[in-house]
Amino acid sequence: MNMNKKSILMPHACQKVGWCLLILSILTVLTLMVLAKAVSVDNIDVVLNLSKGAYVAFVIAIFLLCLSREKVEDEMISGFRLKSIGIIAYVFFVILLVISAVLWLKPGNPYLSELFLIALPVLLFVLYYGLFKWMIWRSQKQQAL
Amino acid sequence: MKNTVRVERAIMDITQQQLADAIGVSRNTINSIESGKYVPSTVLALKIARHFGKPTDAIFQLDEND
Repeated sequence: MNMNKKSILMPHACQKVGWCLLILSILTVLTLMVLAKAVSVDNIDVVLNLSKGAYVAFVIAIFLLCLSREKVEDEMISGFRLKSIGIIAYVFFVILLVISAVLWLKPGNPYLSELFLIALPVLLFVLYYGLFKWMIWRSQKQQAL
Repeated sequence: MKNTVRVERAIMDITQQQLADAIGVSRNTINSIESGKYVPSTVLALKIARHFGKPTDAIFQLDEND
């Protein structure tokens, strides 16, 4: 049966690239945090460009991790993906309701800046990947017991 | 849904990994099916039954809760 055989996921090798980019971006941010006090005002542009680059690398890393195949991508793994997306959809609507309520009660809240709203989809993808990996880990743990 | 995959595997004397490789899933999936934590799709149930050379309903049966 050839129905539903076409997968939109990228090859498993993309996951390795994703992990490398993720580690690189985290290391860059950590280095910038450590060196932040030592940097003079003249070099602030370099720091800003590096932090923007680290953010872009982080986004690409999350994209690759979320949308590449597992080593064996079978129907149970697909089920985990679907379940994770379902839970994240609930989380998204709860966050949306909270944001709407906060904006309604306190217009111009500084915590709900545009930066936060831009980062929200990335945060949801991070949560999705964490949840998906946790489901795989839990089923493997039950197997070991 | 209950199943006799573990029994059939023991009769054929194959490991979970060998069965998983033969039908193209992970060992984790076979383990979850055997322990009743995961109910396979029709396609996967048919593949498992074909591998053991038995009809699907000889391996997979509905239980009281289904």
